[in-house]
Amino acid sequence: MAELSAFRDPSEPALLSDYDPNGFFCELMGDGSEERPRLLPFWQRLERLPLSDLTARAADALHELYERGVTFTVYSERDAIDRTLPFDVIPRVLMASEWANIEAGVKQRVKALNLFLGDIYGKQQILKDGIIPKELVLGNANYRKEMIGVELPHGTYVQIAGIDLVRGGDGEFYVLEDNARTPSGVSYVVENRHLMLRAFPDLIEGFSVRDVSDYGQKLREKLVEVSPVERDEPSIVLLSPGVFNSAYYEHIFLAREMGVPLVEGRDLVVVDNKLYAKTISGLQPIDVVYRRIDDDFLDPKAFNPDSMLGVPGIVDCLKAGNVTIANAPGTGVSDDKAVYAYMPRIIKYYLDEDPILSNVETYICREKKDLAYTLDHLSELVVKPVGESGGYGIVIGPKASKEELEKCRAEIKAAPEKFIAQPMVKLSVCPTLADEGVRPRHVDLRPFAVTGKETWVLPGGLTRVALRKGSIVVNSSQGGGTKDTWVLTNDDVARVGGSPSAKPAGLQAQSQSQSGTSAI
Amino acid sequence: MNLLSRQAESLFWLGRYIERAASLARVLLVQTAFDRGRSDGATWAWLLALYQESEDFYRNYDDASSRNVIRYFVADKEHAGSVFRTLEAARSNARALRAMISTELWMQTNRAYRRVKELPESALGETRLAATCEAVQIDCYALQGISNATLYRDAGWRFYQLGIETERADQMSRILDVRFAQLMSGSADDGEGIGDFTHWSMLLRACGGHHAYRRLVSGPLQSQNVARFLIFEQSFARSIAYCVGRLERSVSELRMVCEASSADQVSDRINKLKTMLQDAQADTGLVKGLHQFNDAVQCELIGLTDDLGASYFGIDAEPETLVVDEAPAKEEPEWVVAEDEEESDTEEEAKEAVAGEAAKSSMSQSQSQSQSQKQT
Repeated sequence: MAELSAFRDPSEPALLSDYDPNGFFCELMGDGSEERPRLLPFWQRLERLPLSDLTARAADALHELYERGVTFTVYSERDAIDRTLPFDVIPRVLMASEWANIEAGVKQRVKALNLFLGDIYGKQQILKDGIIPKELVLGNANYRKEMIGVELPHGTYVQIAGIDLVRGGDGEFYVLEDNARTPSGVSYVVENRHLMLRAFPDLIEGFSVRDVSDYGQKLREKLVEVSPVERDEPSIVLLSPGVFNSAYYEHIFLAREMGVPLVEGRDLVVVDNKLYAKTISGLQPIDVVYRRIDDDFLDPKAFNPDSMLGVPGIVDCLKAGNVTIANAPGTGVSDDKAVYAYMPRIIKYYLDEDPILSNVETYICREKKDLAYTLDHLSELVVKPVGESGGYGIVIGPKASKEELEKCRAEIKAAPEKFIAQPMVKLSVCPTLADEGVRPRHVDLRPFAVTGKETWVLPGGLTRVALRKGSIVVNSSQGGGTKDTWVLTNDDVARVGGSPSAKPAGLQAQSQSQSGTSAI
Repeated sequence: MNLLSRQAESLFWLGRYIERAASLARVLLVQTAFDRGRSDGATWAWLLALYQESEDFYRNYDDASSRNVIRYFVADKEHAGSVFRTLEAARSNARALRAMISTELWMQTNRAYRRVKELPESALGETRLAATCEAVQIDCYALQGISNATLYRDAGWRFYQLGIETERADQMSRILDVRFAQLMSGSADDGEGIGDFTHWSMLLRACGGHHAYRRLVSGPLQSQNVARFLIFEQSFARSIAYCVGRLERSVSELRMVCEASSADQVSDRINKLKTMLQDAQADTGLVKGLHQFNDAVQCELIGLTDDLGASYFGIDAEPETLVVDEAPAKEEPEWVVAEDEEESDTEEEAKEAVAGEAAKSSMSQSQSQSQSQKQT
């Protein structure tokens, strides 16, 4: 095993000596029923790190993220302030077998999402068969009737998906939410890994962890597959709202990793239902647009007429079959919280399979029985408004005040179709560096899936961690941070520990130097 | 796909702002080094003339003490021509270019920007001034070194170079203009042997050319020689002729190597600059007509920026979105009123034409770049 760069002073308590997951499922220890932690070799390695060393290296790591500009930007009247997303240096480790299940579940889900979208913008068979209420789909604010009858390459609407998972007290993963519009965070997956490799080589060495750095190339491959024209090198661009967007760093990262230009709406122009970029050699045709702009702002001609960020006429290009927009307009209807509740039925309907990854139990307030249950058990449930994202508007029953609960009750009664409710999930925890030492903090997981003809899932995904003690809200807008996520190549590694890596073969002794001079 | 017009424009201005910050830092550093013990104001005022900012300066400061002038030019957040604001403008262009430029260049842009932004009050104190200016200058040189070492040699590189070269020629022309005006106005002599050794030496140092000049010319520093060196010397990377040669090369590479659209007006403009330089080189009375020459050079450089905008940046594409700024007036140094009866008529006409063009050009230039560029 690799030598650690620093050894713990015997007088300093072991890093994990007073670590107690408090009855939650722990990503490192398991559910506590086994005698040994489920990731013993990794546990032992962590144990040997002095807290002071871990803290110092964590601070260096954050500083490095800042220096490298892996940041999101907050704008005040005068200044543009770059901030780093908090990063926790203790990785979250997934067994190979756990991952295999997640991967299969995510693929299944994405397949169902695409079939669902193809159907509701096509024959609408699922609505005719009464599997899901018509008005829930057709009356949804994110349903875009401009997309009706539009045929897309390989029937793929959702090229990029982020499926939010949580692990419950039973150690099983559940789907909390689908993100089928413009899911973000993948840049942190790759950057976090690079950072860990630089800052904690001694922690990762010897463990066989699956690589994440080819995400950009995979995404590009998939975008080539969905190009509307058969061309070896279709012209792909990443469309960003620009430097003022808080995810601008991710846009830069993805454009660079894919090797495609980062454009803004003003760089593009539509002529005769064809899309072009304005370049120094005139207008150049564009085949595929990976857009990081919401539907509303994408095309002032088709959607919000006030948008300055989009490209007038780009939806016409899509309808004419001249350009592919990833993700397609109108995918928002499929990741809506109201539709989410029907996902198990949707999967069954199109694939005739049971969901590999279950939903968190969900009460659909528009259905009488569920409404009654929700109102009766409000103080135990998490109530979520449909059609919102980013953790906004959520009421957590057990933590809400009486007034908040009554307000929530009134809102549900007034418009039950606008809410769903879920039991509190006993979110799993992961050892996390806090001010007072290493403490359990709740985590979730967002695997990213890219789809052209087929779906590929990035091994691991984004682990978000609620850094505040006891908090279960992991959103970055509300005090969440991220962790590196390791997927082991096989479970044996976790059980028996890593083997020392081979030394590199001998290289050429030395570069040439100037002759006739002596080193000082 | 070839370079986006917007990226070309951002790269051009990134180059200009980096060069401008470096130039400003060097001028300040030289001034600081030679100012020991004489912070009476007279020695610092010329800097205000250099960027035609006396009026703006005296609105906020009582006197042109070293501390005030340095603060104004380095750290003043309200002053569009300060190093801080220049680096801020460079940074916002770099931000828009982050997907293309190297991480290292972005990091250094940030570092340089933050150093000036977070400058403590003590850094502007008498004993720290030189060290502060030097640190800023090194930061700016590091920016140029890193871009040189890390940028791809594609069309973007040429636009970046065009920005550097345009700004470099412009800065040289300004420094020459103001320094000669200042040095010569204090004397009745007609151009030869004016000014003391220190002044010429400072001018050379402010242009980063003292050592180079010394290698070429020994003996006493003569205004004529100094001016000719700074304008025509082909081996000196900051001479106007050198910069124009590089501009020509970058433009031709854009077309020949980078498949950029052809832009006759840009080539014509550069040819005009070359002709001007050739004529000036043959002119034995150059020093006396130096102001007209510099004025014309600066106007052509403004014109060149406009031409690049029209040819490559798509500036003319959406005229309705343009905002017209008021054109800054150009001050006439006193010594220009040289009595030369034979040429006075044509000269007056030329001057008027030039002034008109300057006004026109600076208008369209402030349109083309939202980061307002005060001194054009």
